[in-house]
Amino acid sequence: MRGFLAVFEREIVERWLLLVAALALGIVPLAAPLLPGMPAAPPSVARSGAALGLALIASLLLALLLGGSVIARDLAEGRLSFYFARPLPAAAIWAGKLAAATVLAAAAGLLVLLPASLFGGIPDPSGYWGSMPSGGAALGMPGLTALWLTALLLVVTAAHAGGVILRSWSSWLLLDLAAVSVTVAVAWTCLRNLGRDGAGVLQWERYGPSASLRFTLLQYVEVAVALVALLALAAAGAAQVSRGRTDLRRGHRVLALVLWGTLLPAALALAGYTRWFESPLPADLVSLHRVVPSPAGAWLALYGQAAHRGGYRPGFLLDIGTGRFIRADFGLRSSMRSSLVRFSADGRHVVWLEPDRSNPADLNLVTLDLGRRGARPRPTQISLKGSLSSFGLSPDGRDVAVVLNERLTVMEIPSGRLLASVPFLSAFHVEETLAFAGSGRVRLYGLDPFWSPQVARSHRMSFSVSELDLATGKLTSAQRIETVKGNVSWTLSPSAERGLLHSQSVLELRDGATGAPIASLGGEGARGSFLPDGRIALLGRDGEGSDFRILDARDGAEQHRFHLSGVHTVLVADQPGPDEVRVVTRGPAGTSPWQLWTLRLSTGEALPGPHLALSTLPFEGAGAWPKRLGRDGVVWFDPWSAREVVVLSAAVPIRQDVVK
Amino acid sequence: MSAIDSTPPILVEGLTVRYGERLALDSVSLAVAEGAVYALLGRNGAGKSSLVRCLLGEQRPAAGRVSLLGRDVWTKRASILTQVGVVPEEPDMPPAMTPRQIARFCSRLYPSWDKAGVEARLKRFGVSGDVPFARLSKGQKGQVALALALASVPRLLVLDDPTLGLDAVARKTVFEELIGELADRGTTVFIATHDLAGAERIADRVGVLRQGRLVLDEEMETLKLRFRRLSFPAAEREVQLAALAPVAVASRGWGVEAVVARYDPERLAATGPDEPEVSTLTLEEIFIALTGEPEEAGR
Amino acid sequence: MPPPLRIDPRDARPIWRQIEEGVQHLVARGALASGSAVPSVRDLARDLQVNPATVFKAYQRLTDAGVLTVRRGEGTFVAAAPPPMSGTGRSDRLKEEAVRYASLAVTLGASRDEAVASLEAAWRSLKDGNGKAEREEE
Repeated sequence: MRGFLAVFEREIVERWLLLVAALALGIVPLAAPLLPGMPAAPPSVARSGAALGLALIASLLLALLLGGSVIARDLAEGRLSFYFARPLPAAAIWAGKLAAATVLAAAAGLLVLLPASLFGGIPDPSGYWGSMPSGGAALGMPGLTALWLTALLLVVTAAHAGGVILRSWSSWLLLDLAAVSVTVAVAWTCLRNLGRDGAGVLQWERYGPSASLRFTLLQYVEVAVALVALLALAAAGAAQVSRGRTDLRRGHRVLALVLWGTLLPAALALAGYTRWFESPLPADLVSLHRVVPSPAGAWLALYGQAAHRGGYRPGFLLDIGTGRFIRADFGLRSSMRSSLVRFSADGRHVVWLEPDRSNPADLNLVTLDLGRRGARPRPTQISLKGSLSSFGLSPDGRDVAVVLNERLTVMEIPSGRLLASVPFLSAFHVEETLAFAGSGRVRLYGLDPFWSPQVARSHRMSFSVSELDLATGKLTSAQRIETVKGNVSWTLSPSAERGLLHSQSVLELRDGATGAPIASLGGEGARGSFLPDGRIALLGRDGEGSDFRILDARDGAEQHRFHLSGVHTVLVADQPGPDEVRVVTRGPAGTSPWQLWTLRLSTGEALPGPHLALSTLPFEGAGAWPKRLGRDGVVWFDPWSAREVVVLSAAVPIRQDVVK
Repeated sequence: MSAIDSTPPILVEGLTVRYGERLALDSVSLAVAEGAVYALLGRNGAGKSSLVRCLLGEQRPAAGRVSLLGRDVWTKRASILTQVGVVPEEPDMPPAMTPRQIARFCSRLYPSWDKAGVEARLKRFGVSGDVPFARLSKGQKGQVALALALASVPRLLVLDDPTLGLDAVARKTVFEELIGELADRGTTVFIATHDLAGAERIADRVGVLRQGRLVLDEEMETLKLRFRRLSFPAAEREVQLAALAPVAVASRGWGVEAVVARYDPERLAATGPDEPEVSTLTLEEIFIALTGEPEEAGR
Repeated sequence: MPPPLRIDPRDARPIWRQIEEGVQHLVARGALASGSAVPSVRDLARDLQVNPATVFKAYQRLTDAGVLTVRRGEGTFVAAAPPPMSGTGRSDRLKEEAVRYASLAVTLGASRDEAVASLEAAWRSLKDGNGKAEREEE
């Protein structure tokens, strides 16, 4: 300790002029408000801002210069033997010199701040930090100071290593260059990929408004990377001084061995962690954000929050028949209301948008042929740059339509060819649905839901339909279509000929092209959905059970009716064939089990099962968003659209009623 | 003279130093007794500096070990060096510091420090204590190093060519200080040097390094006794010469000159009727005979 | 002022022997009078630029031989009456040095008469207290 202090003090005393220079430099920011280019900020803010910036730059620059020379220069110029010829432990020489470099850099930074703080109070760096991305606000002054000191230490130790390596100038330099490239490339790629995956996003679901005071997983990883780098650099520098002593070449060898012997495995570990991070299984999902069923077949596209992965929302294409799944990144940019995954009408093709690996701001279109066993996701030539507001796929899965950068653009997926692109102002709509209608037309339905229930009760919602003719490139718009009071939702038929307008109090059948009403299908509590063949499945409830009806989509005429006694909830699962509809039912009690039924339309039979190999998993009450994905399947519940499936066990009696 | 310790203050065993393929020191062993003055001689590149670096624990040998004052110097360097004074070959003190500041720094590191001694020596040397080290002459830098090395009251003094590049006056003052130290305290001294005339007068024992090998390690007294130069007036005495096993032979205009390492008058007489002229050698002449060429540096 | 003592590195004799013989010579010549102080080990070592241990060894041998005496706390002095060497010691020493002188004379190619004459001249100069002739000879 005596040796450490002696060395430390000697280094500081030798360079005390630096501190005077720093104090002199601190006078410069006082003139900041006089600068012509300075924005109209209050003088104290301009001064403290300039002082902060200058202090940061000065301290980091000094850390770089001192760290790189305080030992390495003595070593190169044969003066380190002065210390080694004295009863000084190598650790005291190393620590004393590097500590002095760090303290000098830090003190210089503080001295640069001093004049400005005397003039306009002490500048608060957290105020500047606050405008930065999430997480920083939680640091506060002590945290920011610690961060700054850590950065100085990192720069000092790295500059020391660099100084030794450069001054030694031996063939080991090639190894160092190779190793530093590999390490930096691996770390940069891993951190970029983690950032792209959403490790840097806080889970609002978990933290709510306090999220901005918390650190993101990515910030923890970054701090860990910095600390590992610091430890490796410190260990390498210490080993170099204590093993290499006054021999620069030998010291360089020792330094390189320790540094890369630590950093390369650490980079490997980071790569391994990133790989683990990016390979969650469906079972790792702790909450589902959205489940999009394929119109036909047993595939579900779903995404949600995975365990221990920060804001990462991995997506999966899941075959609930076989349990087979493919990981896909459509969840990364999907929001709660609109997903970035679309199925073709036959359920054979699926396309989605995922962020580009090297430029995460761009969205790449990826396709997958679900009909072919073992098919892998295939990138397309379509890459979207800019702000995307809508996304739609043609029923045949060949064309894609997007509203991007205030243009409605339609492209052919296999060739990437542009089919049409017209200016389209979409900012007005909060909810948009893009749909391909027959004969080369693309429609865009816009809805603006009310956010306040009070307003929703007494007002009618704005509803618009725009149509682009691909052949002529002409866009026609129908604005301000009459709707009903309250918040409504719009469900389009597979052919886009018809739509269902739901509200709290009414269910209407409307024309897909004009939005004009065709028939009223029911009052309060009525829920409808389109079957894959285009017919309407209508659910209503009476005192002792539920009504399940099949209607003609053209005019709403009833074709089949089942009365399900004792059943409180009915969900349409899917339509395996024209004559079969599978539904899921449940009794009135919240805890009653779910049962899957096959309804044969031609005979009116209701056949239990076939049972899916799925277990009952807890729901958190009706009307909730998807809750959980079990190891053996999906549990999901959205009574609003009543289209999604799930899971059950014991049978409930079901009474069938065939109309006509 | 103090009693001989069971372990000598300097013990070098099988010391081998390699730089890549090059062998800088090849299994060098030597010992320096308590109170003795050991002079290590060798031409530039013979391995002197490597040996000194290993001796001070600055460098780890490829093989062998060095123990100073009974302890391994590589592992116990810092604690051993409290009792060792060092004068480096190249002045290595912080250039911006004055001798007085350097002395203050050093005084914190040693258990005992002769502050008055430093001042007295600097005064004797005529070196100002308040001039930055970088501005001192080469001779003055060496004198400062010696003053500081002696100030810690060391049991052992290691000097790496302390008079290299010094003029005659500066050299004399360095040796005077060294002699004073020897007279006052009987310090054990290891001195690697080019200054053969100086070494000749104060060394008890001499080692000669040649291409990394210790080709000579002997008491000064016996060394001087056994080396002789034989001058034969005529050149046709090859047979006679070979029988004397000379370490160096040189043809002169007037005949042949040979240096023998084991002078024995009876054997010389037995080799033939021609009596050569026999003369004694200085250490420098012995050194040249052993290492080949005249020494150029350090004069 | 200490009487001159010189060390010759060319001499094969060890330095301590050169000092020992030099002091003996000075005492024999009378240049160092009985009871006069000789330089301290330290001073002589500095003057001659030799290891003090070497001077110490020479002084010790001289003290043992009775040429010098040490007065504790005061220093080293030339003994009051340098005692004659013991019989055998003296004759051995004389014989040894005579051989050295004779071989030197032979090496230099001097005749026996020349050698004897030189010896007598040296003897005379010593007794006269004049060291010049001898010094020139060297």
